[in-house]
Amino acid sequence: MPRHLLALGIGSAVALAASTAGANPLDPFGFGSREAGMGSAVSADVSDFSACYYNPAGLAKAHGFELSIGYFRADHFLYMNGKNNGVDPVKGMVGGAVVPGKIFDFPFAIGVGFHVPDDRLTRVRALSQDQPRWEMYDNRNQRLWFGVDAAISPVPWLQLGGGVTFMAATIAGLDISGDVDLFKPYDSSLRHQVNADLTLVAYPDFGARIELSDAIALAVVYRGQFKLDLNVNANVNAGVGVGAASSSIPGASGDLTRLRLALATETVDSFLPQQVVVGWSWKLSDDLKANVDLTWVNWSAYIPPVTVINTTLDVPPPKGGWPAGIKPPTPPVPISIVPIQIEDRLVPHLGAEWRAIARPSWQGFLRGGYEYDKSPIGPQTGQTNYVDRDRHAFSAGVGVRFPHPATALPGDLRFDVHGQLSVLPTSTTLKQDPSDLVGDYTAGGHIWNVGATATVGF
Amino acid sequence: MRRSLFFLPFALLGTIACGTLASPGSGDLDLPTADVGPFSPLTQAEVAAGDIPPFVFLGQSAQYREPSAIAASADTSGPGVILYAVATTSSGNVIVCTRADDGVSFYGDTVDQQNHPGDRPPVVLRASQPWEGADLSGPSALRVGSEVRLYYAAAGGIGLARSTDGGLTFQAQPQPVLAQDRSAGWEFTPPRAPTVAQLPDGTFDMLYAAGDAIGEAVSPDGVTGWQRVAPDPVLVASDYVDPSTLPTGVPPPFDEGAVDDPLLVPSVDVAGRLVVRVLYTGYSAPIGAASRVSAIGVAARYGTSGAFTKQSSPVYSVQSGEAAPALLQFGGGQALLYVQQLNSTLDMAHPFLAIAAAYAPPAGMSGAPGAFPTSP
Repeated sequence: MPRHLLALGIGSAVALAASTAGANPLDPFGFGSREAGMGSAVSADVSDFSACYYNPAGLAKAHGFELSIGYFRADHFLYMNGKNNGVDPVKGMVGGAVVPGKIFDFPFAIGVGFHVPDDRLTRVRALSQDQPRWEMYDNRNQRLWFGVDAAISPVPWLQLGGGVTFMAATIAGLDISGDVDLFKPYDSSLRHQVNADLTLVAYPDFGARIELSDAIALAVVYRGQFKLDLNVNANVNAGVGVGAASSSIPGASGDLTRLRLALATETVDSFLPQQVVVGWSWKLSDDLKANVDLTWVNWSAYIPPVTVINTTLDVPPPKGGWPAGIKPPTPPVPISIVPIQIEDRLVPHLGAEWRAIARPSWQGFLRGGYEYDKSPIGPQTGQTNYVDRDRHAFSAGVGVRFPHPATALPGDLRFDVHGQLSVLPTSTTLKQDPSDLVGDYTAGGHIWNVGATATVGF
Repeated sequence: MRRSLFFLPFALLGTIACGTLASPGSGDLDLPTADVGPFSPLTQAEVAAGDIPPFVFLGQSAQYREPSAIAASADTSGPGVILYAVATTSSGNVIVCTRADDGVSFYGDTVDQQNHPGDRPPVVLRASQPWEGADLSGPSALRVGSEVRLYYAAAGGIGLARSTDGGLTFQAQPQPVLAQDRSAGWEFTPPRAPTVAQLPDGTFDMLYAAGDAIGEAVSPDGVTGWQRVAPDPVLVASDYVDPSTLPTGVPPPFDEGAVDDPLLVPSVDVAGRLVVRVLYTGYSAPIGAASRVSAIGVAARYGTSGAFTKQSSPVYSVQSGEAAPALLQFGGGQALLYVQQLNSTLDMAHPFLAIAAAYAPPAGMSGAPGAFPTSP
């Protein structure tokens, strides 16, 4: 079968397999400094640990055992109405390893990659749908990322790879018991117990890389959908009375009645839509490469992190009725969740790498890239405030490579650094309803992302 | 030696990464807000020591109520506030003045008087004109240049008193600025509860309650020439909804009985649009009903004329007789809501009216309450 037809077939199969939607810190900020410096346009031009994210098939092109470690930090300067909203930076270590080998004389490799935030392993946050938040940057990028992949090259011009990526989900329970003093609520005596489990969820990824010629390679990658479920169940069982807190628990002499509240919340946090990437890499000369990636992101399947609350409240009136001035509590009004308007997006990535210096003992590289993320979120003219803006990401990087630097290090030693400036042009959101409690607002800003990665090959 | 140097960058990266300190989660600083709620009642840490939240200004015999707030100075970065309120006296209902430098510790509050018995809020206006009858109500204070104007309601309609000493003494005008329009069927009571604001074009806009609805009048200078903008009210009670037709747990409109106590909050937003917002009291039943529940709602419109659009949910609801909202916006995004509310913390068998406070945004007030002022 001609390799062009095979490439088309794989691409079609991947596209058809895509049925549901993601973003993670690696989507906007890259994985590895070489790749981030090239605008993440590397799906057809990657063979180190970052292939675990960009294209696992690239692992099969690795020449030896490699260890990589790095660090990046992305600082947000995102503003609404001219005020910095203090969106947390995304920062942490990145790294991984590639272990190549052979199976039946076919090149084979296993790779692991990780991003470990140094503030928190994960963060879950559920906000009301009307609270303004930077939907794409506020919370969803605060997470650990860990991928394990394998790849094989059945023929010299084809590499196939796949694996799984892991993240954590949270299931939590909250139990409250004790007594509530109606007239001195701050003297109430309540005990609470929190139980939380962090459980793993995984999503698949796989890819193919086809060398159409010595100078041109094509890649197709699929990344699965991913979501974190945050379920919190709270139970309150409290005596209600006057001066109850000073009495024993339960059944204090001051008890008027007992309050039983069962509250169950369900939130989908950090939804990552599935993605399909088609990439090309052109080797224009021995020293110059130009790459293009097009990423289809299935944002239309996005589930915003808005909490669904189910409440059951049981407060029987005391004997003789409620005292004067006391109104029994009522259950919270059910929340009607407004569907988010969000559309699929095709995200172009452009990148180039120039070997500017080529000496026997070392080589120097200059890199540049650009990415355009058109916001998938519709105008927030109604009740919701999922704030987002188009993102223009300009990146640059430099790298040095020392081939065979020592007898103990027969592979390469590489150091790469990158810088990325994401510009989110400011625009105004106009509310249709003048009584909206948020009102019109402007939003925009920029994000600086810098990092470094070192790789040693054995 | 050379081999060890190869690993130096790895060690440096590891040191940098591991040495980075964790930070608390953020991302919700200085979020945009219309500054009109929703409001949360103040907590114990947010009121003066000795006060029981959310009450900030109470006197059991005076029954302070119907507050009106203006910033204590032109600097609105802090919560300094001057509050006018109705008080009950042996000679009728009067308007008193008090002040809080922190927005919550009011001169002459019961707790203040426990330590300083002489700290009594001064009466700044009492009925003195023939058209007023014995009682005053519904103060609405407004700074206009160096002058403080106090619009108020009395038996014959809405009156105006003016102060040139910063709002401590007032001179009432001899005639009301707006009397009852008996030709309008909805004005089956004299106008009451006025609120007046100066719009960006320099004209003055007034909303007032009458009957079960709210009407509007305009004036070129706020003193004379008040004219109703339409024969019909501009804000009315919501249509009645049969509770059996609503989904489980969904309440009927909170204001399907009556609307009252308007408070004008005009502003020009970041898009350059004039937004005229109104806080008001919504009642579940009309005037005269045996029992009715109140809550504070908000309505608004773009521009100087036209219908108001309501928020369906109240911005403050505690089911304790809350009514007559007053508002202090400060700090570029913070707001304190003052309302009259039934206080049963001192005598649960005989609750009385007092001034309670609530805060927005939901993060809560920053900083501990300060001391009571030594003068009103």
